[in-house]
Amino acid sequence: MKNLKWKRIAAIGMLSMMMLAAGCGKTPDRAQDAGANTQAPETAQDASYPLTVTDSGGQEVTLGQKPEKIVSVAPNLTEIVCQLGAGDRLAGRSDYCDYPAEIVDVESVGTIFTPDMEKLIAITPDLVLVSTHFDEENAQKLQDLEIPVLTLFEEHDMEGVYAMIETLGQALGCVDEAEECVRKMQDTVSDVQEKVKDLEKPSVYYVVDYGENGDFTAGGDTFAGAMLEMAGGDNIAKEVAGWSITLEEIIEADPALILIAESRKDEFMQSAAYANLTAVKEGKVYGIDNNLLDRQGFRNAEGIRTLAEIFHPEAFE
Amino acid sequence: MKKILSAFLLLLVALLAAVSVGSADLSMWDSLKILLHRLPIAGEWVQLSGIGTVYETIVWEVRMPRVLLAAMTGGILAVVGSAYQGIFLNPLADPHILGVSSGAALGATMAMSAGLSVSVWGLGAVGLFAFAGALLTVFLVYQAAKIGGSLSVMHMLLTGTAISTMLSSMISLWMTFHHDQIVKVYMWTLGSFAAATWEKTAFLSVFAVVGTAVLCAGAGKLNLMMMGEEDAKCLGVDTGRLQKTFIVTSSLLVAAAVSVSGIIGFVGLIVPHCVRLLCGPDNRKVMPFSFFAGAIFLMACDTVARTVAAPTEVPVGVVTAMFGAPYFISLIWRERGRRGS
Amino acid sequence: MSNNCLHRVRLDHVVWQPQKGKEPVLNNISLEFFEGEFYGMLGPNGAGKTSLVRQILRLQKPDQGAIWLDQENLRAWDRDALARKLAFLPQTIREDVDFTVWDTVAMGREPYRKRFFPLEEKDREVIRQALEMTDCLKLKDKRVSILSGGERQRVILARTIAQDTPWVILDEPVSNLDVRHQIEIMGILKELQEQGKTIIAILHDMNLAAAFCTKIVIMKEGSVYAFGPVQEVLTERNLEEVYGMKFEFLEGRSKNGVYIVPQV
Repeated sequence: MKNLKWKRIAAIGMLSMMMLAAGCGKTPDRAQDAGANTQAPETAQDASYPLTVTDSGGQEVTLGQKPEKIVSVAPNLTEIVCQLGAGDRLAGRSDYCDYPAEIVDVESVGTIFTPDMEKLIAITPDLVLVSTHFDEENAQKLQDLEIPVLTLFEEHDMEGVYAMIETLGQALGCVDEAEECVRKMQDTVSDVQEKVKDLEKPSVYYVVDYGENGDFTAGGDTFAGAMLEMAGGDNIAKEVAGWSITLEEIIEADPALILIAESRKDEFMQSAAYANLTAVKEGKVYGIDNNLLDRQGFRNAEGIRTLAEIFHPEAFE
Repeated sequence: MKKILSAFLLLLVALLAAVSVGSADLSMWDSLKILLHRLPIAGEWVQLSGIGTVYETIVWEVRMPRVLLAAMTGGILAVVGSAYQGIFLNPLADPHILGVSSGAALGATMAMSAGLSVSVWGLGAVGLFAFAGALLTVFLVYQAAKIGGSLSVMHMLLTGTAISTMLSSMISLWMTFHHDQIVKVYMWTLGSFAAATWEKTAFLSVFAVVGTAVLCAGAGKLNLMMMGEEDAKCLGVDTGRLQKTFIVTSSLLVAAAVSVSGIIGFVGLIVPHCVRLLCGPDNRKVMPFSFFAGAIFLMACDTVARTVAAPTEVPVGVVTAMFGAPYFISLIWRERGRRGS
Repeated sequence: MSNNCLHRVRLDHVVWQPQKGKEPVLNNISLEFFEGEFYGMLGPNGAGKTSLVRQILRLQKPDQGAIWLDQENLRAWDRDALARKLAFLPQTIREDVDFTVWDTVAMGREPYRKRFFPLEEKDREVIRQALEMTDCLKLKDKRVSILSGGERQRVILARTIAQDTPWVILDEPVSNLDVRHQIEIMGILKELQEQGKTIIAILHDMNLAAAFCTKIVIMKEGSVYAFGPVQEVLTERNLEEVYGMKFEFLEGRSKNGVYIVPQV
């Protein structure tokens, strides 16, 4: 009886897990402060330790020394750590951390929700990086065992991502690398925006999921939704708050372009429900690496460029 | 009495076994040594040389509370299952039947979305809200079932089912608007002991000990209830008071268990039946043995859950069903064979 | 006789109406049962016999009037204490519960048991005697669910005996049994009466009632139609009036003088 009752929740839950496993990363309503700030000592140009960092939960995390054994239980934070040149200091990762490729050799400590605490503790990390989906009680437990936990929730916009990278740079003692990383991203983004700013915006539908559980896309208030706009697209779901959209709305909007994870593109195009969409008929369905949109980090800039190239191929000869 | 004692010893052995295995790179013997080292008297004799302090932390701070929490949750769910099956005269009654789980899930869902951080008795916001939600729901069911006359258990069952369905759809509705919380809620409903702490263990043990004692004290009277309410009255049972005591105590127990571990199905339904098949319908035996059997069973299932695919954790509810159902069916076969029908 | 004044069940203008606006099932009943007797309760279906018995057992609350047990209002009694005073043999018990005969009979000792303690030797002796008396000793390890109807009836009787109460109330204890078992069970009840217990039994067979009872209650349409010693109450006129048919009284065919045969 109970199973029946939970069937619906289970179905939606499973679906969301698939989304996460594939892409990992949705913007929570909860990360109130756009970006976390740091309170390093004035002279902390080279990040002198001990160092206190304020994470996005508003908690102060004190690091006694430069972290050398880092466990990252969030794919996007793993990517940032590697981008900052600290990949060799990673001693543990989550099952879902798969980029850059060499990271797979690092030992996994389980899912992004509930890691294997024994494994995690056995690593004796001096810093654990977690994101939105990490179980708070497990985070509390690690803190009780005097293992510093830096929680960086997912953000609403690019400014938030820049702040996230900078916070992480502070904590890891890679302030310069973080600045460099943010500058590169800003350059890429402004270059793209310069190119597309006067061009007509094609209407775009980004498929997060589809099928019998309903249609899901990135609404106007989501991070991925913001990226679509920044790349010079006109998100058909820009009025939507959150992730739900109906088939009727999609057909009504009849987008000029459709974006979908590369792995699901063929299946989507063969689905009868979407066969009448102009974009499907004209072959304007583009497979993308959705991690570029869904995982917040350095590759988002590249993601915006990829999108812009799809939206406005003429601007990128 | 002797049997109860041996069941208790079996539980201790199972506990030692469960604590000695895990995903950390540590031998069973070393794990046991760490555990024994912490005990009074025995601790004097055990030397921990050569075992890193991090492993001490793992065994004592991570594994031990988790194993105990699983054991107590299993015991509570099974003993409440046996109590409900008796009091509702319904073999399909399980600890979640009065809507406790839905109430707890709704509470947990709201706490997750609100992103509160408080901590009382070792429970975080999610646990506290789940606890409150569970109790509120039972109170609601109880009051609704009492409308228009005295309490009838049939009314309670039906009201419980209705309210539970309503709460479930409220969760669905809530999640429609808080899409980003779905995974967390879903993971919570599957149940897990991953976030076990000594505080939670202490919290739950108070309920487990007191509540189980109260329920077992009524076991003889519950036997009479199973013969029918009027029969029980003629044999000296104040049936109304017994029902109230059982329902209130059971609800408190389940609410406490659910708030520390999420919703774990199957244990409360199947374990009492298995115990009955093995030692007959007398609740004086069924209830205490259910506690021990439930404790051992869930401890074993959780051990499988945390080790079989390590570091990935398998939901413990999945393990309980996958191991419990075939065993239960085999018991039924055996019983039929024995009776030759 | 002064003893009887203390130990008795007295119904005082009892009215019971299961539904408002409908005819009361028990209509202003005043009646007194005294210690040491064997009461047989007769009357057609729907006369209110079972309802009356349920009032005495406090399974139903009177709408008006009161019932007194040993000078105290029945409602003031604890269930526990009441169960040490009154034992009841229902028409049937649940068959789907898998208790053994011994366990079922042991339930009769429940009002005397302490929590968490096993049965005392004294209790075991009472159970053993009850089983012996009802010829159930050889069944004691069997499950009640596999017994025949007659065996099951004897098991419930054994449980009622094990309850060891001064009052034993029975709802049709013999109606589903063959003649031999009927006589056997009535004999056991007589034995109980001789031990000093008071028996109140709802019966349908007036010849059994005539043979074993000391007092008869005849009920009709929610009222007590006649109440008194067997010879005074079991008359042609009373029975014709109550059942609405003719009876023939055959003299000298049984040990107490008459054998009553309904006229077909």
